[in-house]
Amino acid sequence: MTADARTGMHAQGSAGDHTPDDLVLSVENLAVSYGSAAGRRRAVDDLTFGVRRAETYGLVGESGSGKSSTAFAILGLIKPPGRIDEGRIRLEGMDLVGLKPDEWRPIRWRRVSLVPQGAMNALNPVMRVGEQIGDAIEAHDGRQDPAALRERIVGLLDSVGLPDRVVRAYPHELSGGMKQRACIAMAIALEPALIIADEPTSALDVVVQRAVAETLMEVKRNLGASVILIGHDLALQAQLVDRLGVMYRGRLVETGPSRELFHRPQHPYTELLIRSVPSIRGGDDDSLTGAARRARELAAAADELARTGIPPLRLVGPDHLVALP
Amino acid sequence: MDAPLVAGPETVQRAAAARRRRPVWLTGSFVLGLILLFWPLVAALTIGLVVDPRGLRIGAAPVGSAPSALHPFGSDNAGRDLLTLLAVGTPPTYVIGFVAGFLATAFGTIIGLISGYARGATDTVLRGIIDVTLGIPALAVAIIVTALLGSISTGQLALIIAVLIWAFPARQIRSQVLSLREQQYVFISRLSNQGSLSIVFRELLPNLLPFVMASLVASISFAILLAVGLQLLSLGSSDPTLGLVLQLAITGGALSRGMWWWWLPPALVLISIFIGLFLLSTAVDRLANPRLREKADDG
Amino acid sequence: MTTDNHAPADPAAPGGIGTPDVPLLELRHVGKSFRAGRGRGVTSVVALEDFSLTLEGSPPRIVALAGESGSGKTTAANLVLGFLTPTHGEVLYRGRPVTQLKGRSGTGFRQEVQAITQDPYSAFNPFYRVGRVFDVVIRNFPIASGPEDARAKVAEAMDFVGLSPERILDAYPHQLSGGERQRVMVARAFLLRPRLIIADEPVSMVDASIRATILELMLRLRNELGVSFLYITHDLSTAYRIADELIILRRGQVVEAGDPRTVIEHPQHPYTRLLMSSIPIPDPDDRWQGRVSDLQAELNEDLEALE
Repeated sequence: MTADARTGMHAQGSAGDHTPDDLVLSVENLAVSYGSAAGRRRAVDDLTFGVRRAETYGLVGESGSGKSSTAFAILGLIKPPGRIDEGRIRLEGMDLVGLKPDEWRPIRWRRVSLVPQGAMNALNPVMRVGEQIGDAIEAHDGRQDPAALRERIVGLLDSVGLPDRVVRAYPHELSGGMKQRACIAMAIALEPALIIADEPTSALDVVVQRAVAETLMEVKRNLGASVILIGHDLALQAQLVDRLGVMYRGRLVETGPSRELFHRPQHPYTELLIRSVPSIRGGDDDSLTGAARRARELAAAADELARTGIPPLRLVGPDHLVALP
Repeated sequence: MDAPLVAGPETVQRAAAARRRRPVWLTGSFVLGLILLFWPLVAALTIGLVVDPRGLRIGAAPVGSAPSALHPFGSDNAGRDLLTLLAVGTPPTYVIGFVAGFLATAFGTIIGLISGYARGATDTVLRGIIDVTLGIPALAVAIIVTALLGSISTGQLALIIAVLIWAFPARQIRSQVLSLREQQYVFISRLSNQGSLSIVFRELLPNLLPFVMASLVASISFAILLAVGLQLLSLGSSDPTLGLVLQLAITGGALSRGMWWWWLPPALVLISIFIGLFLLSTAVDRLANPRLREKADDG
Repeated sequence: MTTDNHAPADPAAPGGIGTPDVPLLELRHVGKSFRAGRGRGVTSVVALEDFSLTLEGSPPRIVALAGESGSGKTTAANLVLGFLTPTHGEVLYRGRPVTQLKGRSGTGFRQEVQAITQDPYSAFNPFYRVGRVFDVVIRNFPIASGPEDARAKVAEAMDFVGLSPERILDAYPHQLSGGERQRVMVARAFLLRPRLIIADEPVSMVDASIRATILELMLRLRNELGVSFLYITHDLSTAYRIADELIILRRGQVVEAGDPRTVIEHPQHPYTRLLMSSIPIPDPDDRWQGRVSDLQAELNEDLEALE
């Protein structure tokens, strides 16, 4: 086994093999910027991380941290005025940066797909749900025999816990949780190796959120796929992810196994972020004053980071990297 | 270790300052629209100051003569000087359009505001009236009314047109009010003991100004269109108007006789007015449509 | 009515609302239904059913009303504020029905019962400067004796929430952050010196870092000005931190009520237990047990057994 010093991940490939076998996704030195009349602004800067087969990787950060831009870059959805300045994105060994639109067709939705934030916007309100799923399948997998297609759609809906009648239903007839599950069904229709879930449960009630999250994990298990879960709800991340990456202003601050980050965070920003998450289990200094104080400390730490900048990642433990000098 | 921003702070400030100096709707097409809309009026009023009103009389010029030094726009088949005719006939078209447009928009806005905010029985009644009025074919009714009334003044014509078209702005404003009234600041106003009338006129109306502007431009356009349509049918006011000149030209056989100086100038002026109104309406649309506005703001 | 323009009417004084020793707020078996649909498809949607709540007011308390969407909590808020009329039951403020009090400006009801709303973005009219919210309030309520007094009182309110009047009052809403806007709303409430504030999800649309500050301000309003709160939320961790009493609503009915710590740590009702167990804990070693769909099936069985 070789340990890739950059990603700190132990690979199963032979020595000298640049892409470890069990890495479904490998992002190296990714840089994404957006331009405007005021100049170009880096949304993602020198980002390096990997996602193994059948694992759930969480990408967290406050708004503006660049996590959504990372997702779009992986899906090839960065359009002008945005562009990928540098870096490589390898999905199952294939480099995604610089692919032309028709080269994306066999990849998008078939090898990597998206469960978007806010199913309300993702689903076409004037089309029946079954038709939309059918369209997505045919757009990326060619024309299908109608009977076989219908069976396939019903099967997909069943795998996310939705009844038959959803096939003929319009989005507005479904609840928020059902809509989100329909989006999951669309994302797994072509059995991708990697599913990117961008805040898939925001705006959902607590119990529905759990149901949707569990559905996502179940389909992931059945497919043997990997999931990148993007969000800012650290409590949800703790429930679902195997490894976690914390981003701040386009760079990774710390990444590693979720247990490590939650119990033994190495970077002060990570530590403050974790401690500022309210929990009904209570904890040290549960009071509002304590919470307000922690919020101020977190803001101060963020300002400090903005001032000093973020150094490159350094290995501090198995799979655990931190951006400290 | 460098800050992620590639642009320096000064560039950002300069760009922001540039954006602040120019309002979003003051685009090239807005200015062009204004010019195209108003140059005929300005020209007509200026020329009207120096022109001799006797040129309107039959036989003032040689019958059907082409443009010459004495009569720069030639004359029609009755010997009327066309320059005088145009100078005198252009302003009334504007009067009708603007008066009818303003009246219709003002009245329609008030009805739309009340109907949209009050809801309940008031809204049902007012909405019924709006819908019925919308269903009335404006041109057909205008034709009937003006034919029955015979000769009327431009003022009266403007009033008739206003009565026929106020329902369009009313409906537009009403639907905007229906969504605006759900804004939380309306709720806060009610919590602050603000009366309904005050809420409608001081909270909602200012935020409706873009839509009122858009409705105004549309109403003016429609009013001018109706007026010219009536005039082409020799209805409406008997004062000389652009439409009348055009109508006389068409019935007088200007096209077949090659008397281009008779039909072309009024047609060109009308085209200019309508293109101007169109450009204004697209420019004003940016005010009303926030998504268009964002595109404009983004450098 | 007392001559002190600053405080709302003293209940003990003649002419004040209601009589002393009466609870500040009382909802007695309140039901609220809405008609939905048109023509033959008209159905009745029950938003609230047999809802009762008593808020003494002295000492001031924060009562949290928690529930998922569609549970009826916003309906309850609108009923208390007098923007809705109950289909059944009564909503009493200081012993008098709210429906009688809300219209008449002399009663002081509007000043005594105020609200802080959820969305700091649409709470301000984008056409006007931020300071106008205070002007409206001063114009419509007996708060200040004159322009000088008004200025002083507004400055005091801004000081309470930690904002500088110079920077904020002349700004337009879009120039302020969500947290600043929400603090202005709290300052507005401070200016009015209400007895009861309905806080409808006041922190759900505000950055996580500001939430504690806003909640702290609410606590200070209770402690320093004696204001009671009906705190409506779906986020139980904030209810846990700030409430004196927690009421869980489900589909328009109260399923459980009591001390927040007890309700959250030892839920009795099956729905509350399902709710508590679905809240994600920020600890990878404390993960959800079982599957929520199984728990939901269990819940339905339990509920049927209860009926």
